[in-house]
Amino acid sequence: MPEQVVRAVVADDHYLVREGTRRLLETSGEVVVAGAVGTADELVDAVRRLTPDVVITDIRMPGGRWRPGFEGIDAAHALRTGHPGVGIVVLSQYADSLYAFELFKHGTEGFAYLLKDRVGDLDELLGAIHAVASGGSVIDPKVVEGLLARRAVRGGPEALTPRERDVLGEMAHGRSNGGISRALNLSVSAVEKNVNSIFMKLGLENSPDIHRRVAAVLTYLGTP
Amino acid sequence: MPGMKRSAMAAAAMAAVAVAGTIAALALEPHSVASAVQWAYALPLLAFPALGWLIASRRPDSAYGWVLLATADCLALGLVGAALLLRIGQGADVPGPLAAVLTAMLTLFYGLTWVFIPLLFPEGRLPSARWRPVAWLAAGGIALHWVGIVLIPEATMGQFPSGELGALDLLALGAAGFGQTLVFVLALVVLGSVIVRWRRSRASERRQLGWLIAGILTNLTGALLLVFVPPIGPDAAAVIGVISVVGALPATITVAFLRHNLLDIRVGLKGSRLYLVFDVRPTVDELLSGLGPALEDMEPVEQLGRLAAAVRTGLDTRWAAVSLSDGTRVVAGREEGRPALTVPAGLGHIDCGPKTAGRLTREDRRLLTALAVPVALAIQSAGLAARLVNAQEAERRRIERNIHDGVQQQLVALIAGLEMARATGGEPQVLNPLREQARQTLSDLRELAAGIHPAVLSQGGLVEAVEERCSRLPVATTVTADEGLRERRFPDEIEGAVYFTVSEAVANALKHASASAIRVRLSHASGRLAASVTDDGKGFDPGTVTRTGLAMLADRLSALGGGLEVTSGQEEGTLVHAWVKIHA
Repeated sequence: MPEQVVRAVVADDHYLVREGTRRLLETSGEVVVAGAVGTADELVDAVRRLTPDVVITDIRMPGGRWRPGFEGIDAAHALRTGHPGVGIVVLSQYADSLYAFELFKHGTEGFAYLLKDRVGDLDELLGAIHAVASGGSVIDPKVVEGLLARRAVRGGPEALTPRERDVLGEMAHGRSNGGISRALNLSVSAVEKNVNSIFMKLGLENSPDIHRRVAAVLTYLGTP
Repeated sequence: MPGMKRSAMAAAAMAAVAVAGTIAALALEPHSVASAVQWAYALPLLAFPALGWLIASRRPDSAYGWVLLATADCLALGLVGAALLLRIGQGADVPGPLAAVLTAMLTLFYGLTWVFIPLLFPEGRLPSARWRPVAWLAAGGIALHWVGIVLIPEATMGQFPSGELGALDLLALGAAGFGQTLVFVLALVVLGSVIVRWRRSRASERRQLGWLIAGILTNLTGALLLVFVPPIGPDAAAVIGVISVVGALPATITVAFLRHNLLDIRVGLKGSRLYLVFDVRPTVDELLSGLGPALEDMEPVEQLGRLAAAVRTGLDTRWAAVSLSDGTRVVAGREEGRPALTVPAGLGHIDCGPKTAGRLTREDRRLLTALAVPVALAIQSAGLAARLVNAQEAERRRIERNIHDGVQQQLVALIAGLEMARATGGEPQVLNPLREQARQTLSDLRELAAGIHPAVLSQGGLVEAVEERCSRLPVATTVTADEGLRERRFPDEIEGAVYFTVSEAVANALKHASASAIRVRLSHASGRLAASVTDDGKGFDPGTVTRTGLAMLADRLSALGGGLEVTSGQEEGTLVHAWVKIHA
């Protein structure tokens, strides 16, 4: 899939994590790390100077004019206004969906929300980097799990079958129908049937565009 | 006087009767100009009304002041009667029966002086219930003596009635004689009992009783002198006799009261002047209203110290202590010997040492019972504070244990694994499990951090956090919240207390109740933020379960002006209802 090398900036306040991520990405040969910084302020500055394709940032980097605990997310939103083309991967230690929604509150395009342990899963991380570089969006499967559970906790009639819930989770994760069929070991036509049924039941706007689909699913899951 | 209490007015009136009677009696004496000796009689005569008035007005609940006043009145009226009888003897036109009835009051004076004044000393109470028959017998004897004397007025003057004696006269004489003998015998019995009390009592009480005994002995000696030395003019024996009878007891009782600070009346010297000090002993109301605001800003243990000190001051005891059921003991003064009085106060009790002087009175007991109320409250809050601190300590230990046994060990294992990987050249089959191991460690750490304080609670609020907590449960759980509650934020301690209560309740439902469905409801109405957790599990008998994690949370909630209720029964599921006060 990787046709061209992605230029990235890495931001993390923890030196070991920052350097580890940088070296991990560079060993892949698919990413060139143009800069590695330790604060949200430095990140904004680095993006302005280095104009990378993608930013990989920690959610929490104390200091600066940002909301404490939300520095990475706030910086992501600031970058989106100034540099609309930059894809942003936020690495978070929180599986709570609250933070994911905070990131996606103005739209999902070009944003990925991954748990930090994904730095130990290079393929997953690279997948997210390529997705946001091309305007797609990714949300960590664990967070999607949490979202579905939250939906269940809030009660109300649960219209979806267990299979449909699984498919919904995969959709939220940003997978195509083909990807879902591989992940759930289903035929592509079975996936399509489920997807259609889900959109019907939830009254969502169906779209072949994967990232619009993610947005729709997230909107549904996030509605209290 | 409008501000004067009825008891104070009565005491003043009785004292006035005694003083006026004494002066009238002296003025009525046939020798129209009272001699210096006669006026000298008057002085000790005034000691009884003065002391009686002092005690009755200061401590109207003590019978002793009233007994002294009554004694003084009887003496004064009796003397007036005797003076009138003498006047009649000289041909004055005074109604005979009035003089006779008044004169007979002297019998009451003797009865009260010999029996009741020593018996009731110093608090106006019988030494024990066993003395009740003696008191009644003495009252009967005094009454008989009085009736007899009323019927034969001459007897008052120590003269045998003249003329023919009818049956009625004989009966009256018999009654009077019997009554007098009975009173005299009982007086000796009471004297004996006072001496026994004196021998058995402790040093401070011993000295007070010593004064009383001296007074009684002087009084009796004086009476014997009067009886056996023929009354011819104001000779030495008669003077000594009369002064002893009427003056000795009031004088010694006065000294006992003043010297030993009974009933909080002290005598002192200021420069060359003698003065009386009324110890301004605070009343219950004064004590409580004085304590209230001072206690509010204090730490619970400080409060207990303050209350112990208040008990000590209020009751004037050598020491006072407040004890909690957990063994905490706060003492005011230096604790010595066994407590003289112990009263329960909520979950603890108050101990009092002996009084600085005298014995604990009924008034003291009443004061202590009133003080037990704020003490019980302070004990409760001290216990609450101690439990909260303990709970915090226990929680810290739990976290330390979790880190030590969990994450720390996992990291050690990881280091060992990495070292092995390094030594063997880092083959994927060695490295992959290590990565999984590291992930597991991270995931455990995330849960541990959420257990200490979930970030989502501070960032997203109560409803978010509760939903998040419940969405990770393996059974069907629903969370409903009042409209608008999701956006509402409350102070950290309130959100924390409610969140952890819900968290503990759902954990219990899973762990102990094997519930298959849990419902959580968060509501906010009329100044209360409430959470209820209902499960369909097997329930339990709330009476049989000892302190659990929920009980510690109950303390946290009540510290916030809230509470916790657990309703459950075997096979009935469990409802946990928690609430805290919200200041709009």
